[in-house]
Amino acid sequence: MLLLMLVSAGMLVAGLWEILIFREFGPMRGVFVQIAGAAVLCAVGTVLARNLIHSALYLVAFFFLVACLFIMLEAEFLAVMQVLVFIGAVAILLMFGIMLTQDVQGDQVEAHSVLRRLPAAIVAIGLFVMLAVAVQQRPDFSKARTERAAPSVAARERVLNQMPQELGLDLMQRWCLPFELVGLLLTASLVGAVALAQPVGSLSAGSDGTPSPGSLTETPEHLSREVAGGTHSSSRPDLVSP
Amino acid sequence: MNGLWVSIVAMKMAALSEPVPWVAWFLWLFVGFAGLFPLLVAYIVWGERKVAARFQDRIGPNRVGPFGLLQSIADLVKLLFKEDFTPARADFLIHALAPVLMLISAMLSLAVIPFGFGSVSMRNDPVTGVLRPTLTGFSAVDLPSGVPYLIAVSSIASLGLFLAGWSSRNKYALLGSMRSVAQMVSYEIPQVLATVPIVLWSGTLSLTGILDRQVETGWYVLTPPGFMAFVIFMISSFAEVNRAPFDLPEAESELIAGFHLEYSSMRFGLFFLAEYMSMFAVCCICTTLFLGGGAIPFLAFPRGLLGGYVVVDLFLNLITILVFSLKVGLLIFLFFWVRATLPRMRVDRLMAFAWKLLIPLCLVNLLIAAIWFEIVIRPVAGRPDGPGFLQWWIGFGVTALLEVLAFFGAVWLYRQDSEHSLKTWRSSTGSKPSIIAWRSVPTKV
Repeated sequence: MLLLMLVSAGMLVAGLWEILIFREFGPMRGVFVQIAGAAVLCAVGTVLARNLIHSALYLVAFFFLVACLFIMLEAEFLAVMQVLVFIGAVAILLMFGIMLTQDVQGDQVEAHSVLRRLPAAIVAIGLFVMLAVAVQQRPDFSKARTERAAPSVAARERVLNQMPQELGLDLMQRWCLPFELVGLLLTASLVGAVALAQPVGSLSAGSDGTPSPGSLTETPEHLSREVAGGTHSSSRPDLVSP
Repeated sequence: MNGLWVSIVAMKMAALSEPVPWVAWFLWLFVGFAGLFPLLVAYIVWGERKVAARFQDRIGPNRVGPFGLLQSIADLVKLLFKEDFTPARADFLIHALAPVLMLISAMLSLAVIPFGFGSVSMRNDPVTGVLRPTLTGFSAVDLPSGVPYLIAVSSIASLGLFLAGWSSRNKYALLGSMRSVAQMVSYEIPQVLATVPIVLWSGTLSLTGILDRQVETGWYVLTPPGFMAFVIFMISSFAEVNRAPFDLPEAESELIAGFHLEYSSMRFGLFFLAEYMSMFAVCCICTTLFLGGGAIPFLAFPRGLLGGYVVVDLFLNLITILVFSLKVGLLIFLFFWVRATLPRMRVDRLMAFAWKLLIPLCLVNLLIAAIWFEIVIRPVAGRPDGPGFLQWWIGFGVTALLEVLAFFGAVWLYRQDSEHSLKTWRSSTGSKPSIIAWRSVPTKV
């Protein structure tokens, strides 16, 4: 309910803002600003929600709205990848992580103190300033929309219909080095995850010692005898064992 | 009068494949997604009950209507009039949201399926860039990146499943949803990897484009790497839609009903609908990717019509939709058959099966698919009559040999590994990793 109210309020505010500030009424532009406003509200919800799962859900909504923005910018492949990677993988793993580490219900999680939030806020603001400056410095952003060279119809159609192909060619030619570096990074994190997940002593478990007699398990000798014997394979090992 | 009706229907069919925005949208939304598909799903449920009854030497539903045909309607009415119950400590909004998410996921994946062939238009070939007649596909939307869209959309289902278990405040529901998330995340990988050879061969991500390529070069399931990919895709689809033998999230003997334990009335009905609809969607995807969509086996029927006669659109679509639904029906019967035959798998074996057998096999299969591409598809790219007889058989022989080697190699390695881990488990005094890890999850409520 809160989420719905927030989203609708965000749409209202964004619509009003659109009308008052821009004074430019295009239907698509209005929709774009409304979606962007809702996305910002969801992002705020992510930060402010007290329940961790609710926070993660706001994040999912935020990701979804960003995918909607991508669709409105005609970057359909990017939108699909956004949903696939961030909702399908990241959000799920996030929730899985919450459940495995915290108390399962996620209700008893206190809101963090201001001291803890301060560094996060500083980093976020810094990132925002950096991105804003970078966007402003782009040569074609400062130009008015009419001055920019419009892409030819054929080129635009090719890119829209063959987006993965164009993307792949670009990644393997122009952006080859960053692409390979990201691959290296992912491999490193994968190896690290395997190393972390390896239970302590499991590497030497095969060689050390005999099992304790009272344990649930049978000895490997018993097992191999059972397999090698073969004559009484129908009898269950736990009934035969002393 | 009759001719008028035919022409009206023909116009509507043409509207569905031509970009006339609102008529097409209206028909797809209200006739297809709100009307036909749920009805179809209701009768898939009826079919499953009948088939399962036959497997168990019973008769099945036969009281309501002829052959029990109205049983699904009666069940629906019963579900609608039951009390809608929410646990006192449940997270109300999320509890209500979860089944809707699952249903949305299943419906969204139906949006890009080309059920029929649509009409014929001139487009650029994705591989060679030459202008040639291609099918437009009878689908709600023809996305240029359809395959990743399907993957993205089906991953929303696991979110809904997780939220259902979490918001119920019930340890059995939570266990079910945790199992389901692990299972769906694991089996998503072989499912996606199995579609990669198809994308490689077609040179496009659009489902209509893939269908078009299959009409051109033959069904992908008839090639050795394609067959392997088909089998892997089907197995992981069983796991993705939580059907037996992978129905651990709702294992009724251990978890009562798993993730939908705390759901009643029509919300439970939504889960039911979502499960069967995602099964239907997966069968449609499989038919499109591997079984040549609406193409008729052993006939050059659609290729003869690619000359560009718009008049035959209606005829073409009717026949291809019929063939398509026949193939989907066979696949759905396979789902029933497996459910009635196989027992449920154990959690740790389920995981090992995906990670240690299916994924390596998928990766090897991808390499073999590349060999097939080099031998059979690339040399004849752009030629209208498709791959030659000799080339096809050379490719078949080489890749079939490699596939057999890969399959037995993977199974041998899997056996070796499981024996090894069994021995280390038995000889160590420590705990058994997978099962204990599952049980030691804190589940206090």
